[in-house]
Order: sequence, then C-alpha cells, then structure tokens
Amino acid sequence: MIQAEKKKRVIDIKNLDMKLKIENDFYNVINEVSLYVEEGEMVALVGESGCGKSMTAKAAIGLQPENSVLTGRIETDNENLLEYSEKEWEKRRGKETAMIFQEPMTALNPLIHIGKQIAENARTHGADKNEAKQRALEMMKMVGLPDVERLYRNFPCQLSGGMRQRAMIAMALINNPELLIADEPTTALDVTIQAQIMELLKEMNEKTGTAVLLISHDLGVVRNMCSRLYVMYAGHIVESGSIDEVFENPMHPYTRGLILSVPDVTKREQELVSIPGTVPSLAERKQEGCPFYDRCERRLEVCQKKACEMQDVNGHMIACHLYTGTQKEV
Amino acid sequence: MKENWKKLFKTPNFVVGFVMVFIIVFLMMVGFFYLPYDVNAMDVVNKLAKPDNVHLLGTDHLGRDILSRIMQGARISILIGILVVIFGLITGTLVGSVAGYFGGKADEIISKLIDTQMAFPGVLLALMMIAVFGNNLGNIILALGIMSIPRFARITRSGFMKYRDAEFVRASRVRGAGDFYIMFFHILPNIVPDLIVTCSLGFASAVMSEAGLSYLGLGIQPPTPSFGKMLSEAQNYILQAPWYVMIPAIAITFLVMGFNMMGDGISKVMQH
Amino acid sequence: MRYYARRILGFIVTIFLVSVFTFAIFQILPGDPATVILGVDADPAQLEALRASMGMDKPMVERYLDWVAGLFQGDMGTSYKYQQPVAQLIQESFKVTASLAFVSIILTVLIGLPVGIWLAKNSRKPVATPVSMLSQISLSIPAFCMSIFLIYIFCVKLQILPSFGYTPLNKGVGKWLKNLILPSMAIALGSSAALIRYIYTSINAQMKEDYIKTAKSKGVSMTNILNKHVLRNSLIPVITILGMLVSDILGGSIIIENVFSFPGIGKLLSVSISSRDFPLIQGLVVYMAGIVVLCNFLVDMLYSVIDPRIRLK
Repeated sequence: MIQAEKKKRVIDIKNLDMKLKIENDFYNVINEVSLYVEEGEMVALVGESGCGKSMTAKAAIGLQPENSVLTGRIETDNENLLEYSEKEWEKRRGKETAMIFQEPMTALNPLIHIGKQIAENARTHGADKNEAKQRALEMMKMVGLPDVERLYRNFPCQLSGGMRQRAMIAMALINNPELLIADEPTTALDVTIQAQIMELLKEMNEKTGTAVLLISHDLGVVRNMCSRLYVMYAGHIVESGSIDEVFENPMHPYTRGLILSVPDVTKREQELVSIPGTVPSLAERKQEGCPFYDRCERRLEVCQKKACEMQDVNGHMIACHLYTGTQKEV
Repeated sequence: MKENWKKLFKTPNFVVGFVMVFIIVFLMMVGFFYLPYDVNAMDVVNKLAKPDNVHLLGTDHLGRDILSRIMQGARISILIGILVVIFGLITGTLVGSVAGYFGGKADEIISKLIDTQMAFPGVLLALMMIAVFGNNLGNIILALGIMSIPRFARITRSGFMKYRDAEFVRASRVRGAGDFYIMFFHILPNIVPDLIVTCSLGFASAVMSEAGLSYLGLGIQPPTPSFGKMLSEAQNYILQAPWYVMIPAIAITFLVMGFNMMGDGISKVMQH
Repeated sequence: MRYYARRILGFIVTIFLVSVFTFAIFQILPGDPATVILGVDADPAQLEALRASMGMDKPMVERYLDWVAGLFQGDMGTSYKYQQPVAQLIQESFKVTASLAFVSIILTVLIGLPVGIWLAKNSRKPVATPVSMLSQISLSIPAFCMSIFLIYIFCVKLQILPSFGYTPLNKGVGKWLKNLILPSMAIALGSSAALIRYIYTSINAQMKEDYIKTAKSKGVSMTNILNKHVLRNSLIPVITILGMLVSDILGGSIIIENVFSFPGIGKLLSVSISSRDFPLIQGLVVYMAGIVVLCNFLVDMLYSVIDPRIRLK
C-alpha cells in the first residue's frame, strides 16, 4: 500500500540517552530510546514503574530533572528540541506540546480558581483576559464539566479527582496543541472514573486531532485506545509496533509477560502470570548485555554479553536475540 | 561516627559555633586553676581602666578585673545551661514519648498542657516562678528547665509518632516486646540525632534566659559574677567605658550564638 | 465548621488552663500575703481584717471563681506597691508596650518579607551567602545584647538616637518614633531573621509541589511561577509565624523595656517582682498570657479565612 501523503511527526525522538548525576556518579535512565508520534494518532508507551517512561515524557516536553544529561535528538518541525533554550521551551510548552499528570489532586494550585488556572494557559500564549476566559469556559464544557460558570470560580479542593483530571485536560488542550503527553492520567483515580477519563481522552483526540502519547503501566487500558505501542524496560525500548500486531503476536519475553499478566475477562479460571523479580534500580543496572536478562525465562548465552539491536521482525520492531535465528537457549 | 565528626568540622556553621563556645569554655576551664585577680577585689583608683597589659580586658566601675569576672561568670552560665538541658531532656523526652507513642487521650492532654505553657511568652513563666519561690540556683534551674520542656517534648512526640507504626516496631511487637522496651530500645535511638540538635539549641536558650534574668537582677545574686548582671551594671558606663559593656555582651552572644550555630550545623549534617 | 468549633473550644480550654495555672501558683506562695503587705510585726486584728477583705478565708475554688469574675469585669485587685488598681496600671503601661510591639512587627515584616522572598529567588547566586549569614547571625544574637550593640553604634558612636526613655505618641510621631526605633530594631532584627528563614523554607518546599510542574508544562515562566503560584501558597503558612511573633515580641519586651527604660508592661513586671507585689504580678502574667492565646486564636481564624482548603471544608 502506498501512502498518499506522509504524515507529519509531531514528535520524533531519536536515540535519546538520559543520564542522571547523583553525587558525582552518572546513572543511565534512558538508553537509545527512539519513538515518534504522528499527527492525530494515539500512541502508548508502556512498562512497569521505574522503566523510564515518565523520564522520556518529561524529556519530550523539556522538563527533565536538573541533574540530567541528555544526548540524541528530539525532533519536530525540523528542529532539535534538545537545543532549545528555556525561553523557546516556554513558548512551546502548553502551546504545541501539552502534558497532564498522574495526580490530579496535587497537580492544580490549591489557591487559584480552577477556571483561572485553565485560562492561564491561554493567557501565557497570548490571549487577552476575556478571550482566555471564554476559551476556558468552552473547553470546560467540552471536557464534560457541569455548570462551568460556577465551576470557573471554584477551588480545586471543591472538585472530585475525576473532575480535576477533566480540568487538567481542558487546561492542556486549550491551545489546541499538536501533542498531548498523558503521564499515567488515570492511575490515581477510581476504576469507574478511569474508564471515563480514558473515554474522554479518546474523544478529545478524535474531536481536536491532538495526538496523544499515553504513558501507562496498564496494557489493558491502552489496547482499545491506541493505534501503536512502545514497550519500555529499564530505560530501553524493547518492542514496538501496531497495537493489534503486538497483542496478537507478542515477541519479546517482557511484552509476553506483561500481556499475560493482564486479566482477561473472556477467559474464566485463567491463571494470572506475573513476571518474576522487579525492575532493577538505577544503581543495579548492568552496562552490558540485555537489560531484561536477569528476569528473562528464555534467555540465551549471547544475551548476557550483548544487548540485541532493534530489528524488524514480521512487521514490528523488537530487540531480542530469540528472533535473530541461530542462538541456543540456556 | 568518625565520618560524621569529619563532616561536622567541614560544616561552616558548626565550626564557627564551636570556636565561639570553645573560647568561653576554655576561659572558664583556665579559671578553675588560675584567675588573674580575685573577682571581687576592688581597686577604685583603677576603675574603668582600659584594656592593657595589667588588666587584659580592663576593669569595671569598682576597679575589678573584667577578665577574671568573665572567667568565673562563665561558670554560672554553663552550669545552668547543662542542668537545664538535662532537666528538659529527661522530662521532655518522657512526656513527648508518652504523647507520641500512645496518642489518643494522653497525647491530647499533654499537647494541651504544652500549649498552655507556650502561652507564657519568653521568660514570663520563669519570672513568675522566681517571684513565688525565690531566686536561688535550684529555682532558676527548675524554672528554666520547665520552660525548656516543650522544645524537647515536641521533637520527641513527632519522632515517636513517626516510628510507632514502623515495620521494625511492629515486628518487635509481634515478638511480644513490651511498650516500655519498644519505646526506649527501639524508637528512642532513632531520634537521638534530633535530640542532640535540640540539646544544643536548648542550651543556647537557657544561657540566654539566665542572662536575661540576671540582667533584670532576678538571677543569681551578687557577689557571684554572672554575664547578665555584669551587662546591666556596665550599661550605666557605656559612654565612659564602652568596652566594659561590650565584653559581657559579646560573651553572652558567643555562648548563645555558638550553641545555636552548632545545632544548625549538626542538623545540616544529619539531613544528608 | 468543625474546624471553627475545634479552634474555639481549644481557645477556651487554653484560656481556662492558663487562668487556673496562674491562680494556683500564687496559692502555693510561701508565707501569708497579709503578712507580706503589713509586715511581720503587724497587729493581728489588722491582719485578720486584711485577710477577710482579700477573701483569704474562703475556700480555694470560690476564690478562683471570684478572681475570674473579677477579671471579666476588669478588676484585677489592687497593687501593694502603687496602691492603685492593677487593671489601671496595666492599661497605662500597655500603651507603651503596644507601641513597641506595633513598630517591631512592622519592622519585622518590612525587613523579613522582602529579604526572605529575595533570598529564596536568588539562593543560588553568590550574593545570597552573605545575606543568609547575616540573617543567621541576627537570629542568634540575644535581643538584649543586640540592644547593647545598637546603643553603642547609634547612641555612643553616631549619637543620632536616644539610648533610653519613651515619648508618648501625642507628643508627636517623630519623637515617638525616635525613641522607639532602637528597641524595635533590637527585637525586629532577630524576629525578621526568623521570618526570613521561615519564608525561605516555605518557598523551597512549595517549589517541589506538583502544581509547579503543571504550571511549567503550560509554559509559564519561572518569574510568573514564583509571583503568581508560589508566593501565595508559601505566604499562607507565614501567617502562623505572626502569632508566634506576638509572643516573641511580648516576651522580648520584658527585658528590652528594661534595657531602654521604657515604662511598659515588661518594666512594670520586673518592678513588681522586685517589690514582691503579687496582685500586680498575677495580673500582668494573666494579661500577657491572655494576649498570646488570643493572638494565636485570631491567627488560626485568619488562616482559615484565607485558605480555601479549610474554609470550604
């Protein structure tokens, strides 16, 4: 199939490395991460906590920790965002790239009216007072907040968690950005509310055409939402591809483990599998070999020495020696 | 331990504080073996003499040697500081640990009592007790000791609240350890660093209050020299002999500031 | 609403405890107050009459209730030394202490607030080090030593300010202020240092909050984050410091007023103690403690009005 027109990539991360400097030692947080999001699509970045997903997200909006060192490229509009000054970032953040966070309870300033905080995003990027307020009210309606005129003058403590996350979404989308980075937007919410917020994200994506990079540790959640998927482990992307392909034919042992650990409501008495062990802390990470080696059930001799490069296998990308052909399992 | 001392002596606050305290303590120590002059020996001809070779820090309005009086006056400040801190440490830790560990009614009652005590600003409580019971050494120590209880009780209380449900405490409880054992062998060691800081700050505050009381003439009575009394006597001569009033003021400042800065230094080292 | 109920209840309980404590401690006074007033070799009949007039023959609880009832009517008994109503003596000297407290608080805020905010904003620049050292030093110098140093600088060396005495406000603001400036400075330098430290920690704590990340993700500049988001959040807890400040200043004034010969409450207190004027001591103690408790209560109320998280609960 020939694509009629190549879609624009709203973010294109190439070989991104992040090192954290802690007391004169450098620790690798992100290794050689490459991922992109095309305009209007929803892409998931999944992995257990501590895998570097949030760090990748923060780097993508220029909010990485101060003690970090980034190398590689983050491209949009033919510019390398890693070369941006703080001033250039301030212009970009909230306008072209927006972000929402895990904790809607603490992500809003407790002493400023909800509406004003939403409007602030428009104000920061040039709208005058009245226009900002009008747009804030519109956005609040759009994300399904009730009685917006009254709510505009409410403080965050008067809203439920779900409503606050709606407000966060309204705030993030008020300038109609190209890309919304949603960092575990439902983790802190009740299960019933989680579904509503996810529904809302999907709906907003379709209505406004804002691309979404959804960061989650929950594969079940992303399956119905996104078109493509990146699986991250210990700072590395280990598998990526279209959602359907990855779910139907997961290849990397880590992806398999993740998928098996999602309870499937269609199968009764299904045995829940969990991956043994935990994500190694920054200090425990090895410099050579496959990052998943210690926890892998199907590890090969070569895996201890050498990490596998990302390669195209059956239509999706994977970094695992199992699929390079000639190796023996240990 | 050795590591911590090294770190302490690299912390500017601690070093400056230590030097200030050391100067006063050193003078006091020497004073136990040798005083240049008798502290009460008057020499009216030589009154308000400037510091020189004969009187290193000059003489006061009665011609007494100021250096000797400082060397001996430090005794009262340090003695009261030590005893007040011991009193506050024991009582405050006891009260605070009960409040923090058991919580509930005990905590409510103790907290209310501490609040009540905090209602008496500055040295007011001590003044009231001295007014009623008289100003001998024991009463002054008791009064300042009671004043220092809230400081110790608060820090102990919050420490015990933090640790009372900690994993190691629960484990110990499951093994059948009694409350007393848990409180003093499991939890207390964890807050010792906080208590050390509090002792240092408490010492500063006790020295300051004592100096304040004796400045008002309500502390230790003459002829025993004390910094506060020297200051109030000297104030009348600030025009003729400014060094006379500066010396006790600086001595008090060295002790108070020294212990405050040492406390700050210790807490900085502990935070890392 | 529960917040208010709890605070009001707490306020009443504390006031009650303070009054009981102050009353009780003067009951264990060694010796007989009547003998103290009239002397050891007074006429027994006279002593008896005085005891009766002081209510010494009644049971303790009744005397406590009488005393509290008197307090509510502004009757605190009669001073032995001055032979005047205690309430009247306190009222006169309170004007002086109130002036001192007022100017001290103003100075504290004028120095502490801007310097604290400036320090938090510029904590990484090298200029911050001397400023924070200076504030640390003034925090640790006892107020009465600070007074001596100030007197030496401004009265002995520069000779531009008086070293003692008080001029009432109605003799002119300039004269009033001229006498007040040094003692207020002595108090304010220490308490503004405390305020600076408090604001500094408060701002730094707020900078770690999640909502800062949100503001950054909107592209709000650092300056605007500080001015529009951080300041109001970090200044609210500073209100509590104002309550403590009142207590510090009242406590400090006891000695400072003696240093500068101010005819205020602190001076009155030290005179009353030296002359063992017990009704006056008792009245002064309960009065000062009452002010501290009341101020803390008002601060709590103010806090709740300003912070929506408490107000809207």
